[in-house]
Amino acid sequence: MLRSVFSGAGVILLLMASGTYGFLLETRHIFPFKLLKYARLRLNPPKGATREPHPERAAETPSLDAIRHLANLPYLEGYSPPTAGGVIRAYDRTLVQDGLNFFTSGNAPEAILMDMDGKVVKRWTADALKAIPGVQLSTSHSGHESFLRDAQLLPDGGIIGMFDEIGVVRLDASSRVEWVWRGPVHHDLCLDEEGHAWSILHERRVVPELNRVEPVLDDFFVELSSEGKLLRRMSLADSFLRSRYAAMLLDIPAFSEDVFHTNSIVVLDGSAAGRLPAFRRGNLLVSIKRLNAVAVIDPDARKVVWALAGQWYGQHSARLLPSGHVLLFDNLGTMRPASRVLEVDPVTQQVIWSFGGRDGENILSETVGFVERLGNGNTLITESDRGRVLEVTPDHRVVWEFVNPALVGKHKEHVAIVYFMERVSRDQPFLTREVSEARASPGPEHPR
Amino acid sequence: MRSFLGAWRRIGGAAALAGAMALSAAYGYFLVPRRWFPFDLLVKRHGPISRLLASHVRAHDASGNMFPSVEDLKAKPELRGDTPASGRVGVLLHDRSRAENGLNFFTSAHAPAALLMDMDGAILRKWSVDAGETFVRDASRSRSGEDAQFFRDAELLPDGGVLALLDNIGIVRLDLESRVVWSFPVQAHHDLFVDFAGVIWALAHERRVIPGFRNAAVQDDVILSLSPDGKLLRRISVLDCFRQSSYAAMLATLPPEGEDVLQTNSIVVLDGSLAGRSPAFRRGNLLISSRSLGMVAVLDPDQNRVLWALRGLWRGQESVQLAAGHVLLFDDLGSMRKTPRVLEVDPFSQEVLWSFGTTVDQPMLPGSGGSVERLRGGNTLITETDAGRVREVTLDNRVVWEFANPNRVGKNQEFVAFIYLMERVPSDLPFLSKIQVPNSKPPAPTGG
Repeated sequence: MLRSVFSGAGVILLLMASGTYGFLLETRHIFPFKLLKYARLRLNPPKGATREPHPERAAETPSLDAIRHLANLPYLEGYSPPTAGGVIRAYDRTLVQDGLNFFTSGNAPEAILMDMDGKVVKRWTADALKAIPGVQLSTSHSGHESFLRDAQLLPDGGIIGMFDEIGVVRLDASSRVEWVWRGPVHHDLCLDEEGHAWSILHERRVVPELNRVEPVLDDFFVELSSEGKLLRRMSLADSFLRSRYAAMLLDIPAFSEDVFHTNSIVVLDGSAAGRLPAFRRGNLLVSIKRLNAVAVIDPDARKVVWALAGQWYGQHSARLLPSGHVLLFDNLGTMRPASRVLEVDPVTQQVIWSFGGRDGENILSETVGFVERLGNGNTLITESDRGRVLEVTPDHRVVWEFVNPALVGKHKEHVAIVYFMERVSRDQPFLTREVSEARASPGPEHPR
Repeated sequence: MRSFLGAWRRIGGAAALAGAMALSAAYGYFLVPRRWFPFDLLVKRHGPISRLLASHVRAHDASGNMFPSVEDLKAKPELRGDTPASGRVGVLLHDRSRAENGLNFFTSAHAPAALLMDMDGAILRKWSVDAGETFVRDASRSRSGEDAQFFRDAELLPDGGVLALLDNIGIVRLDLESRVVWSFPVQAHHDLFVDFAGVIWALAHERRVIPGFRNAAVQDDVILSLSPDGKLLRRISVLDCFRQSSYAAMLATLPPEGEDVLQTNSIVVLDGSLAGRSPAFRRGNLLISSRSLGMVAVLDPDQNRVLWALRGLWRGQESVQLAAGHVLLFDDLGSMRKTPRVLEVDPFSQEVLWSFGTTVDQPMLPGSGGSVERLRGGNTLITETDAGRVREVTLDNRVVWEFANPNRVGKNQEFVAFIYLMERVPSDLPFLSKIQVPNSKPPAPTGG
């Protein structure tokens, strides 16, 4: 009798313990929670924005879900089949901003300097695996050694190049490695007025305000000296938490690891500080894709001092013009498969100028994009995913068009992506006399 | 033979026990994400368990909600009172030298009533309505019958009449004697506003199917305008205003599920005082708040378009209005400490000019909604709805008047009745000469 009471009580205790174990498994993530990851995803599929939309839901919400899907396409080296036509498909010599074009492309770990007729003037090549020995690439990052995600041209004819998730290499004019800096940098690299390089770095860490238990992929801004030594690093999550914009973190879906996806960085030169105190010299202007926001961070106070979201979606390449306007590449803000470039007044939020998204102005780049305002008022637009670059006048005329001749893919079926293209002056001291004088009218060579 | 059966019985028993344990573990595992019984009971009981569950739901909510509002956590949201009553009631503090003069017009959710009270707590007038009689057919349409038991919003009219909004039931216009002048049955919610011409603007729900947005029906927010005698003038869909604007991109940030898409919760008609800083703020345009987007927005009722919108400095905002050329609002989620705060923000520079509730010595009730009003002399009247508490604070954050609702709700009158709003009105209103001040003394503060 007593024995059956004990065994009955024991059974009840065992059942309560099992229930508690299940409860703790879910709330406290005790063993073997992590091992059950795939089973969990099947049982409790996250119902927010997912990388692969549920097939039925994609049909249910045609436009918004399609846009979310486009914003989350995987990164590839090329997306579109080649089209008929040469490398330079438009060239109005009277209206363009003259110069040379500096860019990187998805087909090779190179940076290229090219003239307005499509002729390659100079090429730098970096071998990531040789330059950064022992670099181990996880499967999700394999292939990142085969292209330069970003590069900056230096006055001495060298470049600073960036390999996604691998590191930064400094090459001289002959592509010899001067220094490397290893680290999971990504998306963008810029130079400040002292010649220091700033980039964006991934670091997995626990930020309790974002996720109590699981680590998130925080973005750090790192400053490297001109000799490649790390000077400073600061966390974007902490910069938000110290600021009046902490509430923006509450918008991030709780289950997502890629919480920010910062994809551009520039150091402000102070020429627009009159528009807003936040635009003072030395502050960092970044584009944070997951928040659909552009933000300014004060690297001394280490906090976000300004941020704006609303009229763009999945944006890249945020820059500040001397007028105080923000210029950016708005990949999907039209809510259609159409990209555009926006110039926005950050104080009133008025759209001052835009290109794309209307008849006759067709650009579409879902995953990457770049834009630069040129000295003569024209805008150089890199439609990255299509491997195409346009120079347009303020009244929307296309006065120069470049299509990447490089092809990628197993059967060379796609045009290689152009990550960015910048117009630089022809007067580069390191270039040979030949190119500099090509601009001068035909005649006897001027002695130097 | 017997021992063979016995062995089978033991194996069967062990298997049954293992199965029962697995079921218990599964029950414990799914209890929180699927909100199985007794999740709602655990959450309702304010205490360490409900706080643990709330913070867990915040970290791991797979339903796509960006943040759990008080409504999200509870199966049946409390509409009238859920804070246990304790302590003193009535006017707890009155600094006559610094508090502003006037009378206090407020609603208390213990009854479908609006009250006019002096600064010492004496009730001068009560307006109430029998919603069942007034809105005969429609009272039964409300969610639980509870909507008929309180005024969600009310406005005092110059002739001593009152406009009252009952959630999901409609809008009623009473005279000084609480006689019904007219009633307008509609799925009204949250807020109404009387403009300079006496036109009444209110929020209402409308279920629609919007192809291209979602195929399933959504709960759109419509803005109604009624003439002073209760005739419908205009009907504006807030969703359409967003979809037709340059802020349509923000709709893609919403979770794909959830019928109450925008959660619009406040409306104010602009008087044009900020039109000089931005044409969007011209007189007659509407300033609204969308809780799900976290956005404060200005829309043009003629163009049916959102012209300006801002997010990022707050998260669970309500009671949004302009004061001294700035946006003043009650933010019940924005502070990462998860307690509410009042913010006054310059909509263009995004500077926070004033706040209350942001430091430890300015305690506000966590999870409480509320409303706010800037008084003529510069003080601010802050209503914490769930706490049933109203405080008048100076610009240097000194509390100079405090009122604790003596009214109770609940089966055993154990909860403080919600105060959805309190406004300070002038004490020399013309109709006051018509009402006799009752002899009753103000309720003496009880407790110690």
